[in-house]
Amino acid sequence: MKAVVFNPPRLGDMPVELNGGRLSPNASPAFSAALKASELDPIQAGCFPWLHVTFSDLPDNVRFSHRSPTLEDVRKFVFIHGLAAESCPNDTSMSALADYLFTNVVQKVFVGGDKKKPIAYPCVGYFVVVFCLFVSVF
Amino acid sequence: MIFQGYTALAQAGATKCVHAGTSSDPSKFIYVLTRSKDPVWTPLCLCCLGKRHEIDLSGVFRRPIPTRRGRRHEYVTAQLEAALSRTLSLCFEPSRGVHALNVKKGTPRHYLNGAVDQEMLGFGGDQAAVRSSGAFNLKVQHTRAGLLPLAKLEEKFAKLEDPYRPKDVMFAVPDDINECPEAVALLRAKCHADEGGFRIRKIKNQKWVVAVDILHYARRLVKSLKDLKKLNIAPTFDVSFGTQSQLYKRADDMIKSKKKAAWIVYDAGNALRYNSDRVTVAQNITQFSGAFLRSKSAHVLVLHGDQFGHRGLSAIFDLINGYYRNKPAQSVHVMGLYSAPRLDRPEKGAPVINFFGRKSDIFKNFDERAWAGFDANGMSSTRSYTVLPMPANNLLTIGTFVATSSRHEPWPHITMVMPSTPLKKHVEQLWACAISKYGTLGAPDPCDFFFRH
Repeated sequence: MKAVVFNPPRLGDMPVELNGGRLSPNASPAFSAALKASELDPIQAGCFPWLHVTFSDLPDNVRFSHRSPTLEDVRKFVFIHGLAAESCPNDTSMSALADYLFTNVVQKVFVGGDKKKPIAYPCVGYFVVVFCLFVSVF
Repeated sequence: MIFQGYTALAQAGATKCVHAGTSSDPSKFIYVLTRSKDPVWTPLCLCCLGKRHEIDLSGVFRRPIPTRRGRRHEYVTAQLEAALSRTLSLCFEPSRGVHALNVKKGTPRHYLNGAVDQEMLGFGGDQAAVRSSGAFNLKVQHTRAGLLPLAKLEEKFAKLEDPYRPKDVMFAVPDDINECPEAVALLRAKCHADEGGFRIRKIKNQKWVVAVDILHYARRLVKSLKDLKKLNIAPTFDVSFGTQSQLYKRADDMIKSKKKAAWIVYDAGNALRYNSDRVTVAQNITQFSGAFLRSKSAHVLVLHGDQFGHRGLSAIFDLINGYYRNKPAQSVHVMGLYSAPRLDRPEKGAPVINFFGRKSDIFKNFDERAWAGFDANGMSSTRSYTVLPMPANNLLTIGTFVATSSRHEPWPHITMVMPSTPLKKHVEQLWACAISKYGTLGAPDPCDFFFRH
């Protein structure tokens, strides 16, 4: 049986990171061109500004994870989409809206927990002990 | 925002999955720590692997109170929510992104639309090694050809549950459902279990699926109407094409036609003003019930009937019947415009007046002068619309355009895209078409289940 060898095109050194729509500085021009030509480009553009991608080993080892956008990202997002929206007297300005979204929305969303900390489920015994203590007090 | 992700928690506050799985791999642990009811989890137990569950992220994004919300705020927040939803989908199903980055050959767009992981099922090598090194998810469910009835059924249920689709309150059970056991199981779980929230009812050998609450309100509504009939009161449901000013003109005429009679008017638009103590105007259901408790038996006029669903109208008719005080109304009139619901959060089932007023001629108050106001170029209207012909704009959308003007505004100026076609002719053709196709205004409604056929 003939072995099938996949030769990826030379795309420079890895890993490359795509953070909030921006490629890391070590990305080669060939890699940027390949990314733009691929179907991944519109997909990641739809995820701006929440997505963080790490290209470790092409073609398969690509890791997608959630990121918390910075204030600059949120401002950019608001200016991109705010121009398409109708304003009304309740909207003061777009930068104020961006600040509001950042403090009240973006900073309240956490994805990914503390992975070293084991998950503790409250079990039946826990409630029994608490109940016994409660009864013993009275 | 309902996000289709992987979760092991069947309900909010549960600490175990439905299979009582308690062990988890902490390295694959993701959650959203917000006001959302259900955190986002990776599968906890083997039975849950790869099962899709609905995760409600609607509590995640904090918004100011509705009166302080801007339109731009709403729009941008919706875009941000959509981006978060897409990102979480990609995190849970990374294979779509991996295949999208096919730098050697280029991935066709249709290839990304499902069916990618099915290719991996035929992989004869070490799947564990591939899974540990790559981002493939072999357990993803896909819609296969045999499950097409299931997918259609899920879409129909989603429409019933969507609060922004007020007219979707029931659907006919498809004929091909018996070919797919999964679809039958879904129907059984949704319609025969207590917590399913839906019921199946029949009209003329056709089975329909209806939400339980809508069914309940429809039953109350029909019971109220039958009780009014026992008191020799025949409520009138008046649907007509026109503006708000025409609606209020008709209301004025009706009130003035009965001299020295007491009236209770339900006007949620708060534009009716009377300096007479024989007319009580209520803006909401609380004021309306208060008016019934305090006044003697009166004639009742309900305006803006086109914004009521089964819930609102059944509450109003309960009061009108006098179930709470034994003081029924003398006569009942419900008036509305021929319009879709125009509220931000429309009531499910609205406009139910189209069902009860289905035999009314919506152009009966329309004379040549009214048409002239509709089409005149010289009018100083603040609102102007350009209307595309069918199917982009049907009669209901044109009626909704017309109904959006406030009471003291002139007619909205409406022009056709094709200048050679007069608007009047176009609208009349649409109406004739609607009459020939459906016979009446109303589509099948849950109230049909409680009338004799």
